[in-house]
Amino acid sequence: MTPERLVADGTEHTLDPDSIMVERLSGGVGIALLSAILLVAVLLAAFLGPFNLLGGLALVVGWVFLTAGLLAFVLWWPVVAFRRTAYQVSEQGIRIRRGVIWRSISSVPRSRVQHTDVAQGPIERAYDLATLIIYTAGTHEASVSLSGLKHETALLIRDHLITGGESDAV
Amino acid sequence: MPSEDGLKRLHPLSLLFLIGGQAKSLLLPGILVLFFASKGSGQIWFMLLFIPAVIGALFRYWSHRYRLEPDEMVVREGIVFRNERHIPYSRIQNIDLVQNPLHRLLGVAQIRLETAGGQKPEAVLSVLSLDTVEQIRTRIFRGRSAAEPGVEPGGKDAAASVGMLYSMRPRDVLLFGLISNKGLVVVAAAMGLVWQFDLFDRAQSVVSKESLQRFRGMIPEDNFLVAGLIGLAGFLAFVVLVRLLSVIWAMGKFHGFRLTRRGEDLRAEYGLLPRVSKTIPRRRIQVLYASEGVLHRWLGRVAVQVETAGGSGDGEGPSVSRLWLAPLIRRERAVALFQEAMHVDPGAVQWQSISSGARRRLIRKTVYLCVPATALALWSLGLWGLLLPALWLPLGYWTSGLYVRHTAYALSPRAIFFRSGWWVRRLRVAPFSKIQSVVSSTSPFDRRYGMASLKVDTAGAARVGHSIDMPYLDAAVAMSLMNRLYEEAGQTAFRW
Repeated sequence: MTPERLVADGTEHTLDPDSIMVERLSGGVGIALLSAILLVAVLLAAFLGPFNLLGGLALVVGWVFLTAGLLAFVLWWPVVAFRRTAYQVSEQGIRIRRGVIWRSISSVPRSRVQHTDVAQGPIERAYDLATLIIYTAGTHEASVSLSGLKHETALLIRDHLITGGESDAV
Repeated sequence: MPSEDGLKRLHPLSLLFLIGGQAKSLLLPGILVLFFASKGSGQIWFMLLFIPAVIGALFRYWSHRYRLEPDEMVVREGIVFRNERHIPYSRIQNIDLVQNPLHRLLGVAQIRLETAGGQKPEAVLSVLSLDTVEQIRTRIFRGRSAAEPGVEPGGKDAAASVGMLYSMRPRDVLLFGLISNKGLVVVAAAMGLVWQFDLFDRAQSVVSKESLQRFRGMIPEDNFLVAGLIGLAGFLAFVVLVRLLSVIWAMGKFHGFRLTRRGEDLRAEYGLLPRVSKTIPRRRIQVLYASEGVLHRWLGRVAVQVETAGGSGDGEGPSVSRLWLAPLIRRERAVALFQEAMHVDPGAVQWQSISSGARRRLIRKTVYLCVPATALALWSLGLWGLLLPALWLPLGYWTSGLYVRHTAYALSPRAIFFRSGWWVRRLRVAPFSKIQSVVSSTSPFDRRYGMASLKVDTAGAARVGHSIDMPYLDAAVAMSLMNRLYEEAGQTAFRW
């Protein structure tokens, strides 16, 4: 059995658990930026604005709560999303289940894969993870992306999907 | 005239059209020169402007050549930067032929070849004699069937078989114009022209102030009835005018519409001024689309279109090319057209309705929307606000029934059918071999009712209303349908 065949076992797999950390970090970067900007605004307003000591303090406390809330969300949400995401590769093709509030299952037959990308962001690279993007000739769902795979797994799935299509006249 | 390497040149009249095309861009400066230059010298200098155009046209004509190989077409362009393009017949999606009035007068045509890639036609040959066009068409057809023996066993015989599938009588063209109401498009275009040439100002200078005053005097200021009638008459006149323009537009666009089948290709020819002839291979059809509005139903007619991947799109994603199979056809005869185009018969399949709970869900949705709206109406209008739920709720109840009754799907051994809409009714058919992906999705509301929706993505459904998006299915049904389509699509090889 070639390694590509091994990946196509027809059972559902979760993403790599490290993907939770990657999501938290990339979410965290966004939150950090947002909080920093807000903090500057709050401090400026508290010291220069028409607030007394109590008002200024309330603003700062508000900022602390908001940041804490966002931080908690960023820590918690990737866990929920992780539980709701799974993929299944088989001889037929690939099937991706995802979504927490709006849930969906996308099925892409192997013979419809036009080409694929394996992309890695800086945080993903640190954890050796990758994003697999599958392109079809469709109009509304012309590409399906799956992030949080081990880089090696993403490459194997890619190989499996693109070697599958018999010589297809385009 | 074949040259040393078998490359053929375009029709000599191409020169005329090439120069004409250049001249068009010189038209405006030319007119300016004619008006403002002092007599004599300016006009002579202006003629000089044409010299580079003529030389350019000569070079273009000289260098633009093509050759028909057994399985591909070679088009060569350019003198300094020479470009040789090889287009395999098997990749050609559409062959479009365009004839403007001058083309028709001279018995020549422009031909455009489209493949799935790219946003503009792969090759434009302008102009060729009609005989040559026919030669190229049959050659491409034969080359294609030779490249794919499985697809067309008949080969050359099939190429010769020509069948008339549908021809549009003038009465139908007239009806199409009346129904489709494209008059406003014409009005908009006319307004554009008027604006461009400041015709408003000129009209004002022609119509004297006194006559306007006299006209205003005819409208009594204290008699609202007469004033209202004049207004109404004006409005009606406008409506009639717009419909009339729509008919004229339809006449220009679809005059003499006919759809024929040549072997495996469908060909639609239509148009009064620029006469268009579009050819697409049957197996390139991605989606078949039929629609009927209220007026269509009264007349017992439907409109049928197909979509192919490839051709002139506008940017991202695979582009889509549409072909009218029949702008307006009797409903009974549409079935035969479906069979010809896609070997499908919507009458012979078992239609499945959506979830039995769908109506209840729709009614609840109406109620939930109606309650706050009623509160708002009561607050602002007083007791009159009660009119709102009194009208809305029965209407919602009634339309929910219509919605559920007219939304259904069906599977044939080769394709999926989906029909929806009770006001404008639409039918979409996609063969399994053209399905790209299947997505089942659930919103929180879907989960509460145990429902799911299913989207079937194909390569030719860019326009809203053409995609297959089935709402309010039972969750289990959606799942098994997705599995079935996934399997069916996976078993067929996709060939554009």
